[in-house]
Amino acid sequence: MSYDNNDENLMLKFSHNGDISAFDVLYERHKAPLFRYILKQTRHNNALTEELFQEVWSNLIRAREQYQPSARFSTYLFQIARNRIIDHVRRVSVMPVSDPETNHEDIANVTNDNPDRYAHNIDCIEQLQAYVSKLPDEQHETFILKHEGDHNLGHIAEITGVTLETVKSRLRYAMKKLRALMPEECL
Amino acid sequence: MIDHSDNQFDSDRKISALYRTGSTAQPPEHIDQAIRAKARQSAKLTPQRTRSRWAVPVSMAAILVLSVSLISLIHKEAPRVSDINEAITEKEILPQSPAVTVEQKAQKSTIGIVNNQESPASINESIDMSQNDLSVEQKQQKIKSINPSSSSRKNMAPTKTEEELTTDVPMETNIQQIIPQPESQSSTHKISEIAGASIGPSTELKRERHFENNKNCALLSHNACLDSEECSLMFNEQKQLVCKRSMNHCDVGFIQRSDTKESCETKQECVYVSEPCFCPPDIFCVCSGDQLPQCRPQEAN
Repeated sequence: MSYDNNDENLMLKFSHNGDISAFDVLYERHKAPLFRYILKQTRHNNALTEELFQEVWSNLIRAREQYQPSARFSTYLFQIARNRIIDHVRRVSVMPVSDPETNHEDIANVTNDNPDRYAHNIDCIEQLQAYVSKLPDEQHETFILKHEGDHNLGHIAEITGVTLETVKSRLRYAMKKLRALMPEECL
Repeated sequence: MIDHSDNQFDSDRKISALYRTGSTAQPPEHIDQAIRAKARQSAKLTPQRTRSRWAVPVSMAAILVLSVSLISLIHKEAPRVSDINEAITEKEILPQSPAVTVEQKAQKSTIGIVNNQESPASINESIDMSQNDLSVEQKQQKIKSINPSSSSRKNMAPTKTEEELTTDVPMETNIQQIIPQPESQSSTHKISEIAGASIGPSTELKRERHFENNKNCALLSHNACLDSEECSLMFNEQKQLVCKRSMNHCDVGFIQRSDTKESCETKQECVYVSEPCFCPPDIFCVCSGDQLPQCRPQEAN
């Protein structure tokens, strides 16, 4: 990626000069990871995901002149998305339970509910997605940011507003649980 | 331990790969279109910032143009200043010898009125006497070049004309104008004036100046006139005492109050005469021994 076409320059072109082609490039690059991040965070609530996804991009377009290229564009975009999700959760008061023990039991229940999917790769994926969705919120968010947004740990720490060590810890716990839950046939 | 770590690493890699394989969700097409449309609509309202890009160079160019204009204006003004300085220098050089005479006369005179500030009339006179060979046009140009320099003098408005300056100058300045010039210059000059020796365009100028000088003598008091070398106190046709400009080589330089018969008659073809001087009862008598001494040319006697 050339310097002129990096995310930050494209966003500046769009925000300051109204360069719509710059926005199109940005949108193509980030729409899928962002959509999946929101989809996973809403626990696969498609309607809510679409609504929040539009809100995130609308916010970005509306407040484009306030954008300062001091942070990575993807970090900025995912921070907007995260804030929108938190606002929504506060509004509807359905904050997911973040007790690791309880979540572990939930994941176990999911596994037990679908015993016939073990043999197939697709079944493995579905199982993994089910386990991931049952991870504690912080671990879940960290795992998704790591795998969907392709963010490194430093960027995740920046997006979530925690220290790098906390991010490492959350990711370690998430992977440990998934390793423990996933059947050997899938690994 | 190492094997355990390697297993963990492999398991983590497989989990990540498995997760990414299954993560293929995309936003629906209608949402894509809606968001792009919103971005296009917003981009149309975005103010183009090309103006700010040009603001700095344009303002710098404007400053440059203004500076150049200002400098050129200053350069245009500069020669005027030098002209003034040149005129002042010329004025200071030209009347140098008369100025010495003025001081000498002031010491000799009992009036004691000496004003070093020259009036435009005296400047004219200085020019005329020191540059008799100049044509009228040259003299007028000289007057014009010197008159602006009067702005550099204190207490004088720079826009006043020669005539205004002559009429505006105080009494002391006018008196100073009649202080006699050195004989070598002024007396011969006056004689030639009266005799009409000067012909051509300069005659008119000299007549005007003679009239001015007479007027200046008339401004003197009788006592001051008696002490003046340039003016003479005499009787007119109506037998009234008048102070007039000395008109010949005999009475120029002759101080009526103090000079004697010998000092008059040492000049060639001059004769000392004294007329009875009657003092009117309402004025202070200026005549000593009822005599009004005169030094006149012999043939006129």
